[in-house]
Amino acid sequence: MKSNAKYTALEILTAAEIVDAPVLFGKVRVRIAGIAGIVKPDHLIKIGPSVKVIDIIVGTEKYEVKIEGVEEEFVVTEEAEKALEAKGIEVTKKNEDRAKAKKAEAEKAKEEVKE
Amino acid sequence: MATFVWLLQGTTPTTIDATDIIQFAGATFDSAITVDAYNDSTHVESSVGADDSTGNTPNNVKFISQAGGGAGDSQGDWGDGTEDIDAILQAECTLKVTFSHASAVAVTANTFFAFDGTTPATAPVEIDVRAAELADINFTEAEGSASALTITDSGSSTSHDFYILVSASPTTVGEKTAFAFRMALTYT
Repeated sequence: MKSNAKYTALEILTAAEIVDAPVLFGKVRVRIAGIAGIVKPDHLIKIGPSVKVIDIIVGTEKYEVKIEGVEEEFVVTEEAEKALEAKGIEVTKKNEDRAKAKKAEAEKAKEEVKE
Repeated sequence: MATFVWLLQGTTPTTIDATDIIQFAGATFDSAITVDAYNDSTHVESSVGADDSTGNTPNNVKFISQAGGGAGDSQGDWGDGTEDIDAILQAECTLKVTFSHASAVAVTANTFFAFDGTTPATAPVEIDVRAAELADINFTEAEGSASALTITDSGSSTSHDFYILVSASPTTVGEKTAFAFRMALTYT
């Protein structure tokens, strides 16, 4: 695992060789690199270029993932990309709904001016 | 102590001080953008109206489409023609915001949004704003704190860099000044 990259929480737990990593989220406390309250496997975590070790707490157990080098350009893993895509679909839907609402509001304002 | 440094990236970065203005413009500094079109250039304007970023070749990201790219990706133009925004490189993003702290901290609940300059919950007046974080697939219409762009959580470190693409479009004629950006985060 390298720094200067974006990972999912599941990828980091898997790198720490935590058994049953996929089913732990939402059942026990998961804290990764100081980020508490992680309840989803696709929670995105950025590991900055200066990070050397990722500290992990799962339940009451502590783990570590040693960073083996720095990515030259910022990297998003395949799994993180999938999570981003899912978020993108959600964001676009929200934007489209807002655009419709804004348009309707502007048209209503125009009508009011006419009156 | 926690500090923020905001930069408009470019061949040389330009620091955006608290009293400075991020100016979205037409082709050149102080030129107008056509209504419903997006910025062709981005600048840092000082509180007295000077172009602080002149000579630094500041970056510009122009919003092209919300979902017109491959697999529904948003598209932008940052000088190489229209591309999906997830193809943008770190150095090509509009803004670099660095959050530093004397001891290592993790950053969560990080949001970035435009507002009217007075009330964080109020959208900027008569402007359409699109923002995305480096590697995002789609732009967010980040207008007001309730519609903020969510920035990825960042693991424990003394310094955190956030790269943001931002583009703006006037929806009516005239200079738009009820318009500011804000980043709000939690560090632990």
